[in-house]
Amino acid sequence: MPLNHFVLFFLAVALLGFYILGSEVVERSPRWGGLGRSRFSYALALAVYATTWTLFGSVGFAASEGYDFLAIYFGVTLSCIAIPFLWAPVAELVDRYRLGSIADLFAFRYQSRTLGAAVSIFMVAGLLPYIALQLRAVADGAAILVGEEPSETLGSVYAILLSSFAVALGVRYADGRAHRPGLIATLAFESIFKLVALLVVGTAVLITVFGGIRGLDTYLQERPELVESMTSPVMGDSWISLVFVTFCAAFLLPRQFFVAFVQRPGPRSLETARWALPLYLFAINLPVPILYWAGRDLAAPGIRPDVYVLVAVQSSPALQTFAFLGAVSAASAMILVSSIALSGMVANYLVPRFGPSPESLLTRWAVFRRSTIVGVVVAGLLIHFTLPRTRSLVDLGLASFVAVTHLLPGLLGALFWRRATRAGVLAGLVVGATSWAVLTASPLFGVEVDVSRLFALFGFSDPTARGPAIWLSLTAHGFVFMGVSLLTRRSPEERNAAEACREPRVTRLLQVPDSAEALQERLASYVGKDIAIQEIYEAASAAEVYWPPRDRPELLRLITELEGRLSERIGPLAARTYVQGGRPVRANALAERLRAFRALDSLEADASQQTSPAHAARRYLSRLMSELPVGVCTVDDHEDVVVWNAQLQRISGLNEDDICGNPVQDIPSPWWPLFNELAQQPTGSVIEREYDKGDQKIQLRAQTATIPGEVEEGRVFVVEDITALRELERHVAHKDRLSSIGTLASGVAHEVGNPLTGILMVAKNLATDPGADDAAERLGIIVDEAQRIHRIVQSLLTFSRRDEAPVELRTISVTGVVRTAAELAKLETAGCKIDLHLAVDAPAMASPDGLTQVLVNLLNNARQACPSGSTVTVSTRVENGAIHIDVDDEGPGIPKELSDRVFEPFFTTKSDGQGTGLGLSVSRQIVERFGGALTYEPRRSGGSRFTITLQAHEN
Amino acid sequence: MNREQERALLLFAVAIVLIATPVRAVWLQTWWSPFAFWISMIAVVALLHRTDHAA
Repeated sequence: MPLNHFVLFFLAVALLGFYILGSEVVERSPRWGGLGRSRFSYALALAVYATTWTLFGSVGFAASEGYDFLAIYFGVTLSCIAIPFLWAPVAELVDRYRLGSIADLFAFRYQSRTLGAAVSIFMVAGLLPYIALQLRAVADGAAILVGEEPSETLGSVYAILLSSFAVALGVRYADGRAHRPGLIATLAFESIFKLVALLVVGTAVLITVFGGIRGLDTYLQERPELVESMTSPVMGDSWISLVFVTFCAAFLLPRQFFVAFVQRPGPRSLETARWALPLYLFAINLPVPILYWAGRDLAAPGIRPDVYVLVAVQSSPALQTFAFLGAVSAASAMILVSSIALSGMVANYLVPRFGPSPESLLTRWAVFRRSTIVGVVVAGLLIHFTLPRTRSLVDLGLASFVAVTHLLPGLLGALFWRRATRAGVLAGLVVGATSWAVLTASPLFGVEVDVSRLFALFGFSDPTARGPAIWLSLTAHGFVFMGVSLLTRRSPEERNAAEACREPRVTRLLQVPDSAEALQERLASYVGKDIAIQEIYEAASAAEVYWPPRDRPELLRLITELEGRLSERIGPLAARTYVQGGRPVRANALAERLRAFRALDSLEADASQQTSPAHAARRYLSRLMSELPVGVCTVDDHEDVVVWNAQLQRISGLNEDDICGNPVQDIPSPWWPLFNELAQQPTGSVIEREYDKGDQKIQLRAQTATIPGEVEEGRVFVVEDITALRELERHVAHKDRLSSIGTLASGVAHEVGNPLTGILMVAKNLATDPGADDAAERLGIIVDEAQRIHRIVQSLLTFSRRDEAPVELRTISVTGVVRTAAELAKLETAGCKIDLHLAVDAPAMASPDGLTQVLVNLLNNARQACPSGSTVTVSTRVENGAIHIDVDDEGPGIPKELSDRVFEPFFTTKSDGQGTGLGLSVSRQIVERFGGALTYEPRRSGGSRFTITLQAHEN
Repeated sequence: MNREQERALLLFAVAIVLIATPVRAVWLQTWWSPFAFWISMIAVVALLHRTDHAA
């Protein structure tokens, strides 16, 4: 006997009214409030996953594809196994940053409102067919019960009823607050109701149709083809695709995300859900094959398997009504939670694009969200009326599931891949959404696109199978996501958000206002003074902080609470902008982590607690780093400063807290050019610079090296104060020059003595004969000889002058310097001849005095090594843009085993008293300060060759 | 990665092999065996959960 329209409708209204009433009681009553905070209620609420698809659609699915329908739940079971390493990190992020949706998570991690908007649009588009599915299932079920054909009028009545329920309860809970016990309790009760409904109906069918388990067994033994048709599809290709899709849907569907993470009542809730949710799904699916086999035998021709649940108990109007109310319950809960979840996305990322002011967004957010709920439900209604009736519930549901799989790459990037960029995620999402629209969604509306050639290209022979569309679109999405991410750079905000997502335990990544007044002023600049005061007051009350905060920890607590409260209502990006003024967040996670470890170490040290060997080793390394007598700065692979040790603080006068966590470019002048230049240099590069420090000048030598590693690659810069070393070098060089002068003394006496003798003789002659005719000529000789002596003395003075100033490179004539040095060297009478072959007179960059000293040293060494009468040759050449000065002698050369040591300080092959062993060492230092090199090589014909290589002057 | 996560990952890998590879033919022998396999898997998860938190 068909049921009455009005009775059915009245019962449905009563059930939904009971839910509204129950949720209100739980929300208001302390006694019942615990129901909504229980871990078991939470696990049951997660069973909002089971919709009319489960109640009606699974039987239809089993009819067409056997046990493939179990894939929809095996995927969830797999997902629940992954809770500790996949769901838990997401839950921690959502909790810490008070995210309200998957769009919030994407927007926060990739610091992009555009991405939040893209995810929102995609999810709304992807979920509307699913909402339509619920409306259709209920309307079709009602039509079966009253013995009519499904009609638009009947569909509209129930669609409006369910939509009204979603709006009525949705606006109650769309207030931005997480952990609503009333909502969780309602969903839990609804889950119990639909489970009981299906179990009761299934048990009744088992007993009345099959006569119990044994009867069912006998029935199936007589019909082995039925079992075969159920099990064989599982070995097909669709199984794996369905398992994968539902693995993602279990926590990425907006309603699942909302319940699993946003409404999570406590940290241990997920642990219970890990086994309780699969157990629930197991229980609710037990009757499905029984109902299918019964419906198959009892249904009249033409009845869709989707409603076999009602057909199987057609002899009992009460059971039919129970099953129908189970479907109403499942559909209403799904529409309710989906619309709340989607409204958060739309209100945070799409509504602001229509221009409301920040003040309006904050004060009228409830209006926006409630309007959005109505909008989502109405859109679902429109889709319901638009979709062709030929589509099964499975087709509609799977379309939504496939859509959410395209959130997986971005989510995995957020959790595990720091290099993922917003451009990569956005590009991947565009590809994914486009392929979803073409391959999955358009056939639902009767628009068939011929993709058989495309599928054949990748080896898929059946274009109607589910797998190819899913795998191809996801593969394309994944490649685009990774490729674009690798080709684009992350902004500083993205880098910090990536660190925050990876290491939420240690770092909060806030660049906070300095004072409570600054915080109030900043917030007021966005939302007005009155609202700012009110928000801060409420946040202070919630955080139990008196105004104004007494110290920085209290201020941080207030800011965290304030940002969290704002984030729940207007999204994490807007909240961060309002609290932090939209400035890039610069705090670096690794630097924060090191600070946290140091703070931990000091606490442990203060408390004299027992420490592990790892802690002891960490403290040892920390102290070692701090007490090193050289400055150490490290940067991570984003060129953010991680370490700035105590010696570097002393050298630079810059505090570690001001530097660490900031990019190298932000190091204040005059220091940043040094580190910036070092950051561009290869490992082993050395740079020397002079800086003014107060009233004195300091000289620094900085070296760089790459820090190898799989995770935290970066660079280390070692900065050494070489002011004292340079002073010592100058002193040694001066001593060396004086030593050379000592060597030259006899030559000087000879060179000065000859003209002096001439002057004396001419002067005596003039004294005896002042009126001689050639007096003028003789005076000229005296002047010439005196000038010759003057030149010699000047050369010596120049050569022996103490080099106080740092090396000043300038353009010099190599030929001129070589000639001067040769003249000085010739002052030594003993020894051999000096030949100059100066074929090239290219200008070079050097200090003339320093180069002269080097050449004199080399020439003196050569002359001392040569047998008397031999020749020392000085020649110049240009090769590869550098100028080379070769000093060749005809001496015995340097033994091969000693040739590597000739430039070592105090190394000499001369006998005692003949040399200090500093000449070549000092000479090499001088040439290297010009940016050049001094090298030694034996000559093939015997003897030695020392080569000075200098940078050519570039015009 | 803590001990609980390591164990979960191991179980996940085993479950993938059992569910998504041809090995699944093993639990597809009768009409009730898929359900038996499913409940066994849930029992293992619950047992692991218990031992994780007992430790």
